[in-house]
Amino acid sequence: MTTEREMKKSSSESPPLSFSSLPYDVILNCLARVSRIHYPTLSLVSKDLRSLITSTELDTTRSNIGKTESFSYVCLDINKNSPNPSWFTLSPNPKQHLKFQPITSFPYAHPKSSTVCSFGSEIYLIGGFINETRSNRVFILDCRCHQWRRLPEMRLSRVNAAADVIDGNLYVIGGSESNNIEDWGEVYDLKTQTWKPLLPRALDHTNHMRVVQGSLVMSGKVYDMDGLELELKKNLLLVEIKMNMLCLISVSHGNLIWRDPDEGSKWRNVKLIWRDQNKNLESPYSYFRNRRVFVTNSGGGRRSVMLWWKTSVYVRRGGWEIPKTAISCAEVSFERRSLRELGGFVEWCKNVFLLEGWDSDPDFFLHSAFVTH
Amino acid sequence: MSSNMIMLKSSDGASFEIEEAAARKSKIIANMIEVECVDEDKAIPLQNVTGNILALVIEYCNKHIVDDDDDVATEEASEEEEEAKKKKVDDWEAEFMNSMSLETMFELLLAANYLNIKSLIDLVCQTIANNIKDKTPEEVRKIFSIENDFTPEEEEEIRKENAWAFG
Repeated sequence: MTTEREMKKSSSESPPLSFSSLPYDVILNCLARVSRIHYPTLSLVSKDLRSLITSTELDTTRSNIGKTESFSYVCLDINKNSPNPSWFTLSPNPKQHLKFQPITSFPYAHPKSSTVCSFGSEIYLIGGFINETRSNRVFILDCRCHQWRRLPEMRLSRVNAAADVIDGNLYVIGGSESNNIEDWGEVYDLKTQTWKPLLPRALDHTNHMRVVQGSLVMSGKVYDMDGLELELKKNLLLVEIKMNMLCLISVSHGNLIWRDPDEGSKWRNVKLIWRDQNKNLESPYSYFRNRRVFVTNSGGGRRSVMLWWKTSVYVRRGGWEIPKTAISCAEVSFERRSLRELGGFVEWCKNVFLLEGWDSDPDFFLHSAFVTH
Repeated sequence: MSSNMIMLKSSDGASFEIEEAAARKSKIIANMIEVECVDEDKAIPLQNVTGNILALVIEYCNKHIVDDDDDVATEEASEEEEEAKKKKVDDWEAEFMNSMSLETMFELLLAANYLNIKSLIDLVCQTIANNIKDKTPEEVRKIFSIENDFTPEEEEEIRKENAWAFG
């Protein structure tokens, strides 16, 4: 027993155990379980903690233990005094913890009719018009640090191109002024950091070409194909509402509508109800009827869509009612009830941001993307 | 289930009897049993774990024998039963962690890490994570006894970089 007593003595002389003295991978394991929305605060605690928060090992740990989170990013044209639109990020679980924050603005002139897609923790902003000239520039937003950087330029300038990341490579298709088949699309190889031409037949056997007849589907967005020409179908999404069940979702005259991807199937209204039955007696539609509604993917395997619209509101301040404009958002998940009926559950519906004054410009919504990290 | 008992001995000389199935939650002990370096009459000495922490580890392992990976005996328990069972375990774990000081948590975490009990490491890490979310930097420093080694200028710089998050 004496030896053990000695051991105890020696251990009691060591200083009390602290967080910083835990093994490195255990500390990472703890931090990886904290939502990323708290990382900016944690990085203010100390230098050590800051370097842990910004380390790539923490990202690896988060994905190894399945603690990655999905964030929606949207690009909104809401500031009439600024030529550039603003980027915002939405917290991963807005139903419980809503946070909708502007992030570092895009440091260059915003390319109009550009294309946005995402992969991992990065968002790509591709082509578009800069000062009415077609652009071949590609920018990346690193959502871990909210820094923009540039990719090598594309072979061709493209506007409203279709884009997606497939097997780790960035595919960009259409939107150029060329009729040459070898200019149809191009692929950015992340390893060699070069652009290569992409011929239509390279995609022939993929789901991107087959799911919706006569269309190309990239990043959930649908493009009509006329020969080599692509045309983006605005406000139309292909959504996997459950495993192996795809539906086209759109908005028309304030109604959420759907149809099967098969040719000839009819558009029908989605039957919308609140997820919390007793929450509200009014139909969810009453919230955005007669509004211009934008529909986007919600990402993170959530099999739902987000709806975005503007609402005029009064905010009470010191006896005055101040007119403001709210950016409103709702998340809708789906349930196929029968061949002809698709039910939509409104998971949550909130005003996420307030603008000064009344702003009735309906075309405020430019881009959306989601990142998972 | 085998009721084979083995003995564990803490660094401060306390001995504990534990079912082999429970002790196997620790990969280290499971390995020792595999290679048969466990003498039936002799206790396994665990020199990095004190008695009070080992008692907690054993309490945890005893509670989790049933959900052991190689226990396929759960057969076709209905979904509801499964759920009820899971809720019971969750409740127990919440209660187990709730009564613990932060320093004990750190010690338990070190022990779980040393004994390689993955589910216990995960449980304690998750509890620590829950402890620091929604806290201010000052509060986190206090909880973890970490000193602020930023100059006011550096702090301002980081706030600026992350202005989007503090808005």
